[in-house]
Amino acid sequence: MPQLFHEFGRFAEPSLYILVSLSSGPKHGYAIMADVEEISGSPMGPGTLYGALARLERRGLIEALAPDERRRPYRLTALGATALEGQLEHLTAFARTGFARLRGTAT
Amino acid sequence: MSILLRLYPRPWRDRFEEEFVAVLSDRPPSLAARADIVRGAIDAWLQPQLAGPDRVPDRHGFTTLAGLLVLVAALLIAANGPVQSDAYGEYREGSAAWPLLILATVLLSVGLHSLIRHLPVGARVGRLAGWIAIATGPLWSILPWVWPIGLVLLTSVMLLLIGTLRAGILPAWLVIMLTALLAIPAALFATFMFLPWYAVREAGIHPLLLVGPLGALWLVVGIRLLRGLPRAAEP
Repeated sequence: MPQLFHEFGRFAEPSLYILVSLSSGPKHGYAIMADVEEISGSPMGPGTLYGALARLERRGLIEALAPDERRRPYRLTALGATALEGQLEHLTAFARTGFARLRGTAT
Repeated sequence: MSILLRLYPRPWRDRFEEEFVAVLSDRPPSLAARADIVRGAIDAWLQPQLAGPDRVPDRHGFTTLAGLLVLVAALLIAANGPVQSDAYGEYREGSAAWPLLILATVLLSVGLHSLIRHLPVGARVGRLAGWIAIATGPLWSILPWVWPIGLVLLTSVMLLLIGTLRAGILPAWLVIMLTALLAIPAALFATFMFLPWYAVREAGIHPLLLVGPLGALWLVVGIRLLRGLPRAAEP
């Protein structure tokens, strides 16, 4: 996993899910939680959500928009889109290698 | 629930509490979610800087703005140099300003380096252009009449600015404005390359057309660094 996500520790995987969620457009906290649950198949706790959001915002990968009543939407920055693209390419290459080796073992 | 939120440090609550409460009102937390909130509070205490400002002021902004002052001083000296005359007429002898012009570009390079540091590793074109600008800036200040060097400098600065736009470091309006300004001297330099030197002198180009855009670059980079840029990321 690239250096950026190593630095995030236990928030690395939730951060990736959040970036993927925001790649389809700005969302506020609850919408992100619901979307991540749909993407990953498991719920994300609110403490983890805001721990990851704080890290992503701090690194300039997402930015907070003006709050809509109490709900504050977040959106992906250009830097975040670049980081997400790099991470997804890394995971794609990893998956390709894994499948190739698995098929090699099976035959 | 408010008891659990009180576990978080004050700066964190100032920043996130309202929206956090909104999330909890949308989905009342289960026992596991409550445990997650407690765990998040421990993390917030261990990483208090996460609730701080998301932009970090860069002291190199002062260096860059000092470069702008030096540039202005160089211009004043050049504009008030002794009057000389040759076969083509009178002109101001401004070589006394040379050391200051070199110093000004070196100080600007410090600011450009800070911009490069904020670019993601994946922004290869922007980073390469930034390093070319740093290398050609002082060189152009030594040899300002060698137009191709000036053209390379301006083009590389424009590419660096576009890199900062793509990385979300500088806003679009600012990059468009600066690039449009820098395109003026770049177009002049490109034209000068095909003209004999006396024709360039006779053209009577106002120095502000060249120095104004460069001054704007010094000013914008300096102020933006002092205001703080988003932290660099390694995609």
